[in-house]
Amino acid sequence: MSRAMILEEAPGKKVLLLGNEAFARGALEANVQVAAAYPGTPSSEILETLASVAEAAGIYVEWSINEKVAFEVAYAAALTGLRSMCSMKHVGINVASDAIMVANYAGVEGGMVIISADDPFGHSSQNEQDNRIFAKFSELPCLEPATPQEAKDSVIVGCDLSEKCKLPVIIRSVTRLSHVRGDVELGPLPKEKRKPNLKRDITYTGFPALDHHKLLHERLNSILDDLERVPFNKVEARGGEKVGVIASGVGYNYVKEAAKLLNVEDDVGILKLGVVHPLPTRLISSFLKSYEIIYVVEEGLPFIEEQLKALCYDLEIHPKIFGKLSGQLPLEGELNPEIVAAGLAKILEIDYKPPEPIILRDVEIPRRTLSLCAGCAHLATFYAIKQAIRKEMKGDPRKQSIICGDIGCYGLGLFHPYNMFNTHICMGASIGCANGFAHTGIEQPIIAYLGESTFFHAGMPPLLNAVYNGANIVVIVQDNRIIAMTGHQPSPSSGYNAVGKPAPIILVEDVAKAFKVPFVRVVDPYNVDETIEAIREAIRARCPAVIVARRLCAELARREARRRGITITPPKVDKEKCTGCKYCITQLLCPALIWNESERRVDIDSLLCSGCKVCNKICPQKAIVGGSGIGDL
Amino acid sequence: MTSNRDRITIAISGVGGQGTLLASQIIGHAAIKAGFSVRISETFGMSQRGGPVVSHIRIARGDVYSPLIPLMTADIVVGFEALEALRASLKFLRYGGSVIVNTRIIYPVEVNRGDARYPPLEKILEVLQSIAGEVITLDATELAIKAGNPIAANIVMIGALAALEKLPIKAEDLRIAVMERVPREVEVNLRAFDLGFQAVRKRLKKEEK
Repeated sequence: MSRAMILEEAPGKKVLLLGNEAFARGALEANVQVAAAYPGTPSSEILETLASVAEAAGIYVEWSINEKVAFEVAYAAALTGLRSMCSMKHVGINVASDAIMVANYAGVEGGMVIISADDPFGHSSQNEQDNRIFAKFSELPCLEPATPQEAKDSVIVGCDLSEKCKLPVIIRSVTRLSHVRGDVELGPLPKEKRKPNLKRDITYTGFPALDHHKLLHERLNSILDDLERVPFNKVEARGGEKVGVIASGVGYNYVKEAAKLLNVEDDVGILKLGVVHPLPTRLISSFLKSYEIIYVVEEGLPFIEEQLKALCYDLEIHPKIFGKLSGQLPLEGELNPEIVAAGLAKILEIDYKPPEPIILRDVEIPRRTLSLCAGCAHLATFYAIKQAIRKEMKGDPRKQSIICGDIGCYGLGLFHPYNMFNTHICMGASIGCANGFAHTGIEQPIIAYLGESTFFHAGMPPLLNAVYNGANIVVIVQDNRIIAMTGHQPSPSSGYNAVGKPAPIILVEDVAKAFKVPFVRVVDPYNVDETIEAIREAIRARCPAVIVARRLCAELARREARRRGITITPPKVDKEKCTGCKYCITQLLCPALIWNESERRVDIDSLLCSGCKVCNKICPQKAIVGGSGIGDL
Repeated sequence: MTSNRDRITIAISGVGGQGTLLASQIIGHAAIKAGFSVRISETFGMSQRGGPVVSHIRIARGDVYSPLIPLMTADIVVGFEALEALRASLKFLRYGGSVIVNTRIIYPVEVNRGDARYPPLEKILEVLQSIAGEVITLDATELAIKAGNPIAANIVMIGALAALEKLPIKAEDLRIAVMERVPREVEVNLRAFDLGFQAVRKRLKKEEK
């Protein structure tokens, strides 16, 4: 994305924007002056885009330490009458929920939107949670845009609604909106900024809970008419169709595509819902009454479908309702044109079989599992952990230890060929779970593995808990100075903030020492022997221990090497010495180490290799020599 | 020569980190400037590198709906890596569509560990020939190195795609889009574009004779 485009004062111009960039542009058009977030796929680019233009636009943008703090920062700004936004991935809402569940009672003054980027299929997430349910749970209005254009406009509509009813408004995105690029027509940017003004005679609180709960309902009810008229709701019917389709958000796109695929565009009437909580019941009721067959297409749980059935009871009508509950659509995973078409075909009783990908009989296509980057410090640290356990416990690391994983690139450690982790739950849960394992009486070493950003996000309380309650665990924090997984957003150890301004470098070891962790060690994972030794010592110490393995993210390191004029030259494999034992390939699992079948020895892919030279150090034959690159930083 | 079709679907496939996303943005940018509606979406695993990536590009006069390509409907598959060209073609290419393949191989970790075999390149191309209307090969990585940076292989592939003349966008407009969307190393990228373009033009001319 060209940053200039986001700030362009060109109403009516069409530009190509990522859904998340469109949300950011929408925030600017809506006059949002404070935005905060914690990065997480598929939401990260929203704040990233705003951060890149924050200074020029004269707004405040921050990467907060976690989603709860992000919500609170944006919430406070909205109390002063400014417009504000916080954005996060779906599971981020869980972290923020403690505050949201009272802020809904206390309300806002300036318009505030919360963007929840859900991830049906869990492309880059540990679950598929549908946060429309959270909108119902917190009783906040919820919009669900369908296209990048609507993504942009939803922030403006959301802020207007929020101001009118004095409640934060949730905007639900999904992967296939946040990460889709499309044409977006720009609107005008506001001319004037607002001045903050906190009404000091009001106390913003949930107390007394009963009164404030009533207030929440009054506020919500006050905008029911407005929700019916939100432009993202749309009826497309000419009369005479056989089936009425009710679709929300991205589902609408698949319905249009499916109708075309099946050539039944004239047979379906469509009610497109852009408001999903509270449902625009008047609009829905009149649509429901027009059809005997209803097909509900929504991404996630049967959220609308269930409510429709209740609505039909009140209306005393009995259309057949098909969707996820009736098995026409799957309850898990992401929708696509074929799935939606198959459901529609069944309802219309027409023959449709989605085209099947070609299966080859004589060629086997190998899988290509994801891997960590060549030269990634996690690879070296994973290796060191396994070696330390092997040496200390004399046996298979998998059987001789418990390793609790966490959320980050290193989450790949869960999968083959790494097979590193026994648990992988949520941010900070590596240390939290390790705490629990430690008190069960398990004899083997218990290791918690996480990155520095995850540590700051949710790892500090469980570490303090380990010290306070005497949990015998080894916490290994891989500090790569950046939030790599979500696209290199800065972390507290980066030395700069969201808008690129210098920030104090906060070191994990300083926090650990302040928490009175009895064993704290900082190592360089590229110094393989030193790292193995440190982990062995930590295991032997039988006390809460923290090892900080510090190495810049390999991708950043490649850039840094280029800047410093260090050329990346892969090490050479000595043909005479390489016995083809594959130790480097199977133990380090660096994607740059490739197997030369004809010569039965190891080669190094010159384009992938980063020159970390960890393979030189671990080769049992000392057959890998020389090279330069990020290992020289 | 440019096709006057008003609706085209392209799948760009490759390995995470190869720049499929940037390539699809450049094409989308050019398409919007030419007055088309566009939807582009990427399918991948987690957020990391190294896995198979398919960028779905749908361009049309009028509305485009699904951000995902319906199965077996892509007019063109642009494969940044041979095996991934095959994988995507089996799923998305319509019968008789075109395939452009970068012949530079990136081995999956499974192959390096010896858990799987990488099919011979000739076999991959043979299968592609049997399902596509045309298959064009080039070593985009080599050409990118010639242009000045191996990273520019994705721009070489855009040049190659432009030379195919199947897009409703002029080659020159794609070239301008490269300049506009990638402000860094403009000269390297334009050289990369031209090398990809020429490689395919030469190939197609030979076939015409």
